[in-house]
Parts: sequence; structure tokens; C-alpha cells
Amino acid sequence: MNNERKEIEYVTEISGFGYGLPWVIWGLIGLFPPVWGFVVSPLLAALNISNETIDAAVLWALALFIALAIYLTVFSLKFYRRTYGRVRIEKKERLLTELKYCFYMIPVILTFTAGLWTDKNIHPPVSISFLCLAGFSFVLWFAKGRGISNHQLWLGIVILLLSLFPLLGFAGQEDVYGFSTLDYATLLSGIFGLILAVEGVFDHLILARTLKSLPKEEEYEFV
Amino acid sequence: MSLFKEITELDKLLHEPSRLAIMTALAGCKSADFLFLQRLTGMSKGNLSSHLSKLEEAGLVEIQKSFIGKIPNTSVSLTEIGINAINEHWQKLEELRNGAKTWNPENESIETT
Repeated sequence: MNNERKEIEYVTEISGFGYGLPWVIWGLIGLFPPVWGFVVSPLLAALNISNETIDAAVLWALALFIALAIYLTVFSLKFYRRTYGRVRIEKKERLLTELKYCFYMIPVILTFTAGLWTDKNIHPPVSISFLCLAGFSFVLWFAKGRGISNHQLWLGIVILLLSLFPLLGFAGQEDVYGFSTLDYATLLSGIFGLILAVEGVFDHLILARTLKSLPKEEEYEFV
Repeated sequence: MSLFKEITELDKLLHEPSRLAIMTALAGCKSADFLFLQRLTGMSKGNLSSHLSKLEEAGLVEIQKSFIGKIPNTSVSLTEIGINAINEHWQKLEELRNGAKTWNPENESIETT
């Protein structure tokens, strides 16, 4: 299959399923826990705000963030429709693809939980949770971007290298490599969010690069 | 049939680059807006309309015109014939590509007129 054909099919798929900016938005949701846990929460604590208030604030902030994400997702999909036109996917194919992603998510979640348990209880010299995330990025590359875009591959390699941090002596002794279990899970959620966000950015760039701009005098009307 | 003769006998209606791009995109979805195809091919409205008309005349695509709110919308989809034609065309191209890889000039007979 030649590259032009792959690119056309990929762009049609991205447009039909609404990948791109919506993935960036939902990836940022994944970044919310580490940003709150490592930046906002300590900042609020330094301002002598009580723990009860901070705990209540996190729920409100998360709810607000999710509401904003839903609004921005709808907005970005409308933006795509207006700018690039609508691509409709067969209902059956859409359902099958969504089921396929749900099906993929089961082993991802199971492996991820097993990895977290292993990191916490066995302390292997290589972080198994990070390896799972690297694997997730490789699977995304293999299933989706292979031949069109290799960003998932490079991101996977970076996470794979990061998984070596205990071996290189960057890990503490307590709990999970020096992190509390909650902090470690928070960190992993941030990396997961980052993978989704990067995926969305690159998909958007592929759309913007492949779908050419219209001449200024052109207006949309009947054929 | 010789490899080169097969190449020259490819379906020109489908093999024209813009039409091939349109048909390939439509093969990956149920239907696509005129605007999407225009963005994909970078063609002017007139040019794209002309290509779509040719494809429609050949029974390869179906064009639906409607309104979304007050905005006119034109969407294009492949017919059954169109789906088969584009799949066969890509298969043919793949075969020719594989044939070209193993092509040996010594095995090719020269036809003289």
C-alpha cells in the first residue's frame, strides 16, 4: 500500500472519528492529577488553606475541568466540521472500532494494575508500570500511526528509557520507588494523559498538513 | 499480457490522481462532505465538481444535496460499483507494483509493428 493511500485513509479516519483536538483535551484531564497533586495542592497548603478545603476544592476543580473538557470537545468537533467538512463513518464500523478500543482497554488496565502492584511490592530494577505505558504507546503506533507518523514510537522509546530510573539510582527506598502509592499513580496518570495529548496534537497536525486551505474567494455551496 | 501494456490499460477514470484520492477517501467512510474532498484534493469547486460529475456519470459515486440548518450541504458516497472498482483498482496497482519489482528485461518480448 503506498504512502499517499495510507495518508488519505488515515486522514479520512481521523476526520470521521473526530481524533485530534478532542484527544488533546482528554489527555489534559490525565494531566490534572499530577498538576493538582504536585503543584496546586502544595501551593494551597503553603497559603495555610486547610486540608478539608483543599480536598473539597479538588472535587470542584475536577468537575469544572471535566465540564470544560466536554464543552471544548463539542466545540472542537464543530470546528473540524466547519473547517474541514464532515466525514461520516458507517454506524457498524464506528461501533466495532469503539468496541475494539474498549476491548484493548481491558488488558491495558489489567497490565497497568499488575505493573503498579509489582512496582509497589517487588520493587524491580525497571519500573513495570512505565514499561506498560511504553507498551501502550507502541501498541498505538502499531495499530494506528505506523507508516504515517512515528511519534508514538518515539514517545514509547522515551517512556521505555524513563522506566530505567530505579536502575540508574533515581529511586528512593520507601513505598513505590520513594513515592507514596497515590503520588506514583498520579504520576502515571500524567504520563498516560501526556500520551493521549501528544497523540491528539500529532493527529491534528496531520489533518492540518494534509487538508489544504481553500482559495480566499471560495465559498461553500452546492456542487 | 506484458507489464507495461497492463499499466497503459489501467482505468483512466479512476487512475487520474485527484479522482483516485477522492475514491480512496470515500472508500474509508460512509460519505464525505464536498468541503472535505475539496480540502483533501486542494481543487477549486469547479474542478472538483467536474471530477465528481464524471464519477457520478460512471455510476461510481452518489451525490446527495441537503441543508444542515440553513446551510447547503453536499455529501458524496461510493456506490456498490464504486466500492468494487476502487478496491479492484488498488489490487491491480499492487499487483503491477509487485510485477515491476521482479521485472526482467531479458524475459520481455519486443513487439514490432
